[in-house]
Amino acid sequence: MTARLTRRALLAAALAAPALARATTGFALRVGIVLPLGGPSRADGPENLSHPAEMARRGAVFGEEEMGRNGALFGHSVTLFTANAPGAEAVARAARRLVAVDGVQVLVGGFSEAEARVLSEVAEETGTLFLNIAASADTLRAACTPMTFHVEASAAMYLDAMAGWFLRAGHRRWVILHGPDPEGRARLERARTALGQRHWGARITAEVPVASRDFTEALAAVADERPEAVLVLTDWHTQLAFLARYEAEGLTAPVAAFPEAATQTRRFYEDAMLAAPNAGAGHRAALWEPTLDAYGARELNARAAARWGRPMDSAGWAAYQAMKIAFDAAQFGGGAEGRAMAAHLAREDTVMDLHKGIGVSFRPWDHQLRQSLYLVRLDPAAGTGSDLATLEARARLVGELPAIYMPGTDPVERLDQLGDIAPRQACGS
Amino acid sequence: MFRNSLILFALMGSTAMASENYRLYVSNEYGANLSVVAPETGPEGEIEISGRPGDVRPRGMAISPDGKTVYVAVSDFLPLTEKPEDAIVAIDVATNTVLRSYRAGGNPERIAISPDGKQVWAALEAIAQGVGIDLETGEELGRFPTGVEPEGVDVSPDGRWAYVTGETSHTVTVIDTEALEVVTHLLVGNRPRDVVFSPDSTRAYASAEIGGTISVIDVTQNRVIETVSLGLDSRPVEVDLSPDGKLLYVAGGGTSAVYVVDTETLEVAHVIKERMGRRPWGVTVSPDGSTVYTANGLSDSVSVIDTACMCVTDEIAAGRGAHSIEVGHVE
Repeated sequence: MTARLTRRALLAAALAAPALARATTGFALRVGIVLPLGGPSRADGPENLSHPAEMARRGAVFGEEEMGRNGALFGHSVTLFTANAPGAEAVARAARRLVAVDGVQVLVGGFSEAEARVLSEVAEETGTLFLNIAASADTLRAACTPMTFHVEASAAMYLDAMAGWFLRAGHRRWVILHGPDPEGRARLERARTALGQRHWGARITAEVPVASRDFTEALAAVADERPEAVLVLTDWHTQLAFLARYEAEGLTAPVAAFPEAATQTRRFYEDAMLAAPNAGAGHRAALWEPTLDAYGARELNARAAARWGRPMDSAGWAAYQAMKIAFDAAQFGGGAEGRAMAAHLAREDTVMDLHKGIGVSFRPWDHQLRQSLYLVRLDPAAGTGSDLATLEARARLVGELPAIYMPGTDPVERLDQLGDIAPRQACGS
Repeated sequence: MFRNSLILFALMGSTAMASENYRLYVSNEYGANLSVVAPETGPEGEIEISGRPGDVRPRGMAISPDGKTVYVAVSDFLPLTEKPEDAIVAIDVATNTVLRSYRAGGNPERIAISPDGKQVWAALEAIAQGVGIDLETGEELGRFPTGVEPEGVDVSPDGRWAYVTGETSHTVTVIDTEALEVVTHLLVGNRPRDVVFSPDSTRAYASAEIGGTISVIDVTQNRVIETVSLGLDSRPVEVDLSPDGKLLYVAGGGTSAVYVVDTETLEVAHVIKERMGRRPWGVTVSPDGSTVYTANGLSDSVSVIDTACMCVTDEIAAGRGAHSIEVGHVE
């Protein structure tokens, strides 16, 4: 049989992500990851993101090693450059240095809205691909930034998933606490949408802005309203402080807290349960869960755990997959050039395997990765050790949304059940 | 899979073997054992592989050319630590006892037997390598780099090539089994799970779970010549061919379906869903081609498909997490 250029063959080639016709050989992929690793004197506070940043660094190194191995089959090379840059100004300097001096074609990072915005700006200026791994702000998705792609789930996706799980569990009356800053108010607004427009049975009985560590009004609202669930949309640091006070007040309604990247670590889970043995041991949404036991996830988690001696947290997974996305984009997008890789990732027919059991893709209109999210339950019985088994036992997977293991619908439609699916703008038009 | 036993049965002058002359062997990933099933009468018993179900998992299987020895790849969840459980275990079909165990470090996942029955080839999932092992001496013939997470493996019926799929690299690694060297790596569909050669060794078919495709490889040129789309959410996993090579049976894993591809037209001829067990992972064809069996990982069962109607006619109990299935020849 000779190669036939049939309609079916063309269609199949378009559907299969690794289209041979677009494959190249011998590229040198250079990735710069910008992380708020900080140092030993880093102050305690919400801006201290050194632990999740370190988890991301390990995921990126692991990704560099594995993609390097894959690249070696075809003569490609993969090199990771790491910059320690806490804060948006430092991030801007580091990103420009990585592009100008180290010649990276890909930037990875984004641990706050401000950092992600700066990285996105540098990417647009320099024609560098930017993969956001930890900033969930919906405003980032609304911007017209052709070089930016979001591996981290959006706040809208997280809130839709949380509303789905908790309402299904029977919680109808909610008190919402939120930060007073623009991101806090944006989360509140999107939570109203998730609870009010998508689940008409839900009722928000109080909305309380929480500034600094004064929880007086918030605790009074919970005591007065007797909600069936408390939704905490604050930063990770305030979440911990609130949990401790909440438990001390003897309040018992389940607490659902916003899963910003810093909260999706085994260390945070331990801190939450130490702060509030009951309220802190509830359910949490997650981008990734190291006990996921399907779709090749078990093997990926086992390799990562063997590499670092601890479970791969969400930030580690996102950084690993950023390396894989960049490598595949270079391999199938015509080489390691930023704009070519971005164009490949923006294609409707570019489908990737990120160990979530279904082909995932970036939404063309906002470059948000379509993907399923996980519900985990923290287990206080796991103890406080730091060995692998104890860390793994600290949480266990109890849910997946959208549930991708049941076939029968289009994967894109299924994954688009979470988040804002309507194009907010026609970028570039 | 039936694959290389094709040659033997042809030499025996019998392309049809009555079902009373064979047994089905099912590897149970979470049961750490094999189920032995008589096609006509059902389960006959289990063969224990390890006393540590959940930790030690038998997965990929292969059959010797004479049909008398079943090989199963066994591994654990410690990818960087080679343990005694990382092995290929040979089981005598006549007695259902373990004959021998071959050391195979790096989590062997799927395996294939050379057509002369003298070699086993394995995909070492944890260390991104393929390995060939001499079945008589246990000597390693060589280790060969593959993409990360190698899984599917097959040896061409003419004995010339071993193909190994790489899940995260979207590749098929081509190994020259005579020169014992890697010839090339082919890019195929997204997350290739398995590969099978045609009986005449001119074609190979590689399934891609996330891409939802079958890559058709021209073996004479070691080149992908066609891609068959089964649908983006078809999740193809293990593949096997009818004895004449005209039909490719594809286990649809997460879709709980079996896809049947006409290898001449490269069209999907049938999609079998009704009464299928949950998560068919392994698939094998009976020696006469009249029946297809699937190992169903979520329903712990074997689905029996009559190829005359392309419909499920029976479901047989297996063990926990049925992964792969093979046909053993009983005298």
